[in-house]
Amino acid sequence: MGPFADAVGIAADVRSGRVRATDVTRRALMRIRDLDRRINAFTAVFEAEALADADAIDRAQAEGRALGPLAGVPFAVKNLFDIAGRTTLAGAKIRLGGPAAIRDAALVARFRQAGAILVGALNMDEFAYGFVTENAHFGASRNPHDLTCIAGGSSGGSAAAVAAGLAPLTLGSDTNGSIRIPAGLCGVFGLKPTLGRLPVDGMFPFVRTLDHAGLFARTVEDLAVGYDAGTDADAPRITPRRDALLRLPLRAAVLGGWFRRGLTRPVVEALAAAADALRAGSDVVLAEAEAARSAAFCLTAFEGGRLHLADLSQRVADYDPAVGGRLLAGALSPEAVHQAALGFRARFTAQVLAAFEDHDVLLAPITLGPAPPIGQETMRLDGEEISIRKNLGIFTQPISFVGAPVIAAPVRTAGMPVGVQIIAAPGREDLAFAAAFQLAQRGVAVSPAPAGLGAVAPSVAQSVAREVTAHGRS
Amino acid sequence: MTGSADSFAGLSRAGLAAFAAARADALGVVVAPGMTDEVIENLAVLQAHARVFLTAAAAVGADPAGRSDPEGAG
Repeated sequence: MGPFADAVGIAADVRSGRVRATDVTRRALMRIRDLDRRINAFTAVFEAEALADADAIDRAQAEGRALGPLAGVPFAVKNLFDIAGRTTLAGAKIRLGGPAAIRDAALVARFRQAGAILVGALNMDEFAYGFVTENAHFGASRNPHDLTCIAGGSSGGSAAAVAAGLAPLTLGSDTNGSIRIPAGLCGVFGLKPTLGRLPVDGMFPFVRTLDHAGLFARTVEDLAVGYDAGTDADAPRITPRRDALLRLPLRAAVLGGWFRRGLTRPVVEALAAAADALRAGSDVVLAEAEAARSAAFCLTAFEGGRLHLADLSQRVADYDPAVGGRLLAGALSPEAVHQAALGFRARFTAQVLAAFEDHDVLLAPITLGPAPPIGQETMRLDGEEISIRKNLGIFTQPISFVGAPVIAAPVRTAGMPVGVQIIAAPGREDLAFAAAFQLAQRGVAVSPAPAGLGAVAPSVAQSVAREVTAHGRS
Repeated sequence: MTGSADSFAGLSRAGLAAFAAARADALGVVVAPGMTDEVIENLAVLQAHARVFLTAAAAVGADPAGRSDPEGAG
């Protein structure tokens, strides 16, 4: 079983007894220890706990007890999800040393109930306010496809970990694009479901009216099994419907207008490939997409800033310099603008819903182009230099603003990864999955393995093997 | 000094600085002296975005701020 083994296959092998969860976990820990010093996806690794949890799965298997759909699958979570007994950092220095969470976040708990093994917590932009994961306190997460480039953000560690084969599934959050952007830049699948579809209980808030919980994987099947494990017990499942969804005729279109601005050639080609594979019809223009993006920007700043009002007043110097000033400005912005943004949201939502009367899925770019270098502060749009941190989300913000489900799908390219957004009407994750299954089957949507990361060093393998042996004796 | 969305959108740079000071006072927030320029710069970015969606809303006569007749045009 290689480092890029999929979650569905791992769980099947563990359930049948072909492989032990302990061995799968040990291999994941070895790879993390060996590679993460270069990638910096993890802010904490839970070796002893992970091995103990894996051992419990193996004992349950040996005793013939029923195992869950994620039995023995290593997973890791953006460090804004509560983990019982650990401090939830949310990427912030000011939270270091704070009280530990009493219980797991709801989504973490559901993954564990499904048999998944939590191996660590992942890097992010401070308080999720950013698109780059260049965190002043915990360092930059590096793109496994080119370690000099950003992983994207704010769930950068989550995307980088999956892309590098450190875990087949990770959890993240998306308020304005924080799952879709790193998924696209790291070449993995990401799911931002309908607002509220996956539980946010125990997830450190950023913008309560926009925060979505979601996940990353290297295959659509893994994304589906993770989504199924995270949804409410009575919610419709995707995995049992895979074959039907593969055959489902889809009415697809590409978003035009705002969503075609300034695209680089790789993104243009990716969009064209996806549109061709889904036989997309003529473009759909959401006339107020730019205004919606601006309204989302203002709403985010106000709600995000207000959440931090007390700390901003007393400890602003302890914030990431890229974040503190933005939060403070948001906190000072007028309530009237926030109210106006909420009003605009209702209006734009009606426009988007109308577009879905004639379409099942809409395709859109995720970013203007591939991942920029770490440290680069600006990019060009229509001849103008604009801030990367503030503007990587120009194509994602209008969509999360209305709470629609989106699968970020990596599209096969010759160079650095880029992806497309597959957008469905709220509540219709099944249609976004149908399109993703079909693009994957046709070889258009593929998560590429990064070249040049290398094998696990023998010294690391021996070290983890010793710990596993010691654990087995305890 | 909270003002309407439109009045915020129409502030000059100097007006933004005065607005920020008044808001900080009202909210009991201390803006560290070294951060004033950065905060005003970020407020200017928010102001630019507010103009975009307020203008879009006004263009078709809707009022996202909830006023019944913002222009007095019936």
